[in-house]
Amino acid sequence: MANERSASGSTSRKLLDLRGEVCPYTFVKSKLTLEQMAPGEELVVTVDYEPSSRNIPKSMRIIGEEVVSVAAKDDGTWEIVLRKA
Amino acid sequence: MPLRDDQIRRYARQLVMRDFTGAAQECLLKSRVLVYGEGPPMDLCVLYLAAAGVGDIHLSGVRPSVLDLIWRAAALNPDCRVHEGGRGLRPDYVIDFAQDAGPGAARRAAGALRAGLPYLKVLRAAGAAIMKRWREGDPCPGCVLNAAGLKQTDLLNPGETSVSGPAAAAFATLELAGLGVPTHNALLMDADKGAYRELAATPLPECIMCAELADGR
Ligand SMILES: [Zn+2]
Repeated sequence: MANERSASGSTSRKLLDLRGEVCPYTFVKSKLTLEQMAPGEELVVTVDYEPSSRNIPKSMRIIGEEVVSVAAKDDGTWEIVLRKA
Repeated sequence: MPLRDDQIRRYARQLVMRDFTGAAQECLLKSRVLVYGEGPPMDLCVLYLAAAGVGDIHLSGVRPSVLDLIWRAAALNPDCRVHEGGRGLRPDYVIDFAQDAGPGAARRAAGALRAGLPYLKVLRAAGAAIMKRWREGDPCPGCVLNAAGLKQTDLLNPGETSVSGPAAAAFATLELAGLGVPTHNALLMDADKGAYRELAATPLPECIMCAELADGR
């Protein structure tokens, strides 16, 4: 996992590369990573398994975490930005 | 110690639940459960506890099939260790499958309450099972059995009612993970109908075992 500054430069972001992984691991790993973060911090998750691009945002909303954005990339991956509630 | 990647995969099916956090799973992995009794539901309970990631399971009393059960649990989950015997053990949770609602069960319930340990009792009759997580002020196991419309003699020929095994494991798992007690009422499981009913039982003033249970605190 890596850290970077967000575009605004104010909040810290964590990067989680889950390419090659499938459900339910992709959601659970994202959930456990968020558990270790402070409220307001952002987590950027990258997946290449299409169902995970839908299931992670859906499940995150169910457990009360904020889904900032979901974007399909040209390289066949999805970038999901989550914010710890 | 944070969960390893293989553990996250192994426990993913319960870690998907909102309140079942990584910390909750770590609690479970460090927990010790003492199990009394024997029979198919008890075997299933042990296997479910092992699969959920309970760290140590101690089986009280000698039974012929114990080695087989220890092997099956070990094959299911290397994180879990199943031990024969529980003398001198300080467990985090007690599950009692002994087919006894008399003084022996009342004594085990009182001992657990006095030590501040969660005590979960399962009793099986033909086509039905009762499960109850005891707390202070509760009646004795015999009076709970009575409240369910059953007698001691009904315990002599128990049906399989295997559902009581996984149900007991689920109760223990939730509490050991810090997610609370689903209910303190007795749960009556009707195996024929697949139906569950909650029973609120109160101590009987003339019952000696209820009095002894109350004195034990
Ligand atoms: Zn009583």
